[in-house]
Amino acid sequence: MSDILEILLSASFWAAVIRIAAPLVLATMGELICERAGVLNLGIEGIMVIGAFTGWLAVYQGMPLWGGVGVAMSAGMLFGLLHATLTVPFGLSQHVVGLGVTLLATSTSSFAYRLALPEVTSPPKIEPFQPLDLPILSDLPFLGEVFFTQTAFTWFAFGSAVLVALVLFRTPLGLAVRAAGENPSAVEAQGLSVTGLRMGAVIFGSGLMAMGGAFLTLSAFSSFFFEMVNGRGWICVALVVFGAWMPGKAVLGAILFAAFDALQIRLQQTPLGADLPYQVFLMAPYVLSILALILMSRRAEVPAALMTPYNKGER
Amino acid sequence: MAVAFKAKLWNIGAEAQLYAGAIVAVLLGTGAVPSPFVLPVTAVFAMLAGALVLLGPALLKTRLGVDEVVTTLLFNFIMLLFVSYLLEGPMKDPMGMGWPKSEALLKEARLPRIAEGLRLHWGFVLAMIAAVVVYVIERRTSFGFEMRAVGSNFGAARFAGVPVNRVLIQTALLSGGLAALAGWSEVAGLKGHLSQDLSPGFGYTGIIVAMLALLNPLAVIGTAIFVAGIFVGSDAMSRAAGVPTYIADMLLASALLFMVLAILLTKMRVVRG
Repeated sequence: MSDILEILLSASFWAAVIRIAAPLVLATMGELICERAGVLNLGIEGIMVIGAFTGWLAVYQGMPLWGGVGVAMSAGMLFGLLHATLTVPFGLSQHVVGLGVTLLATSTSSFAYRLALPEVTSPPKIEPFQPLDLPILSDLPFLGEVFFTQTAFTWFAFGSAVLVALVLFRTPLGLAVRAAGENPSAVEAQGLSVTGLRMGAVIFGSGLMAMGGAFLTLSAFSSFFFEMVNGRGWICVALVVFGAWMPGKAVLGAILFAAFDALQIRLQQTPLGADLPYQVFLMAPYVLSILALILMSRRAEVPAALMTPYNKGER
Repeated sequence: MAVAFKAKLWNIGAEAQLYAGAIVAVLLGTGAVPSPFVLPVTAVFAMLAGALVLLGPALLKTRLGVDEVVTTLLFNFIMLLFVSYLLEGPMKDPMGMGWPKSEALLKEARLPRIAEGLRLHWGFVLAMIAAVVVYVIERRTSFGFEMRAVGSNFGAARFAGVPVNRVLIQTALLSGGLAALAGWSEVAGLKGHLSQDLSPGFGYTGIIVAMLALLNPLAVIGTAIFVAGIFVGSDAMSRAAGVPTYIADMLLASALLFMVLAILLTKMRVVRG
């Protein structure tokens, strides 16, 4: 037990928690926007992969880091457009299309990676985002290390969550998006386009997911490899449910989740880790996600029109 | 050719059930069961294991309304790690030269080849039989009728008195069992041992096959052969022209999306106003 306590009290642990949570926050916000508008986006896993890949490739080819983030976002929005077109105006099964988008985006990334770099054995590295060095703040004991040695991208991730929450709950646009997921006929009665709102939400949300993927290559690691997203997308879908479709709770969920993830990595090095096979620790995030889904299932307030295609003029 | 197995029913955790079947095949096929019965016994237990793996998510769906797509997807990752643990711990082959793979199956526990010199094994025939059996169940039994009713109109089925939850769970058991049988056949027919690269995403390919076949079990046979052809072809292309093999995955993913779109377009009718 003293091992766990020691870990929980160290500043480096909490710094790691925030670092691990950042990509999850971005992607979870993306999924949350889609689902609030009434569209389940299971393309998330593949869109994160394409974001990680295109962002990395752009920087590797000499673009500035923020340029890479922009490229990743555009690529994500492109696949978001595909998902939105098939599910919103055509009203196809959101499950099937989502998985199709994931498979297409993942295989496109692998294919393009092999085309761009046919003959490499170890993935080439780029110069990733560096930790900010703020005067005074970074030198604060504990807090300085936890909050003020993060990269600019981390700040951007949490900032975008705040922005999403503000837009969704404090602006007419946010109200319209949420209404499109709750009662689309009412939106149409107000003279707004449900199709437009839903497509916009899915495209923008997919952009956020792709940036979450780009975080992995541009800030967390410095190279791209297959399997790097490794189910994070599906975990984000679970986090949206866990957060009861509320941005604030979803961010808390992401931080809680990241804390468990950071803890399991550190526990592997303690005597406990020597007794248990390491796979048990690696399993923990997925088991945790399923548990979260079970726990929240009873009182989750699902957007009423989630996964229901809307056809104008149809009852 | 073993791809012909992989597509029976719509369920995204097929990867996990496939490995469950494979684990059982190795557990029982390395000497635990006397030799004359070893093939049928391992097959039956493999199917039971696969059904059990899918029972969890199915119960969660019917009891608590938890989306089964996400839970089965997460289960795939858990299962892969479990296999990795087994291969490095309890089931590691002492003669494996450090490679993480299990002990080899006994000769009696393996499916024979159809003919000498061919890689084609009886698993392929079994897959065809399975597809026909599933077709008969779906079209010619009351359970199959209820299954289709639940699938096409959940509310109407419940209103008509179909025990919706029971049908969902029974369907899940059947689906999990078949996916596990695929894992069993892959071990007993082809590999002869359990390893972590047993399935290069067969569970996911199965989804594509099932959709391309319009969920018709008989069409699955043809579709699976077609899809397998694309994979084998991409390998050959990669060797001959240096095109990355991932082109097969891209093709299939696009095929899936175009297919669902095409189904929709065939349903559209020109309305004269």
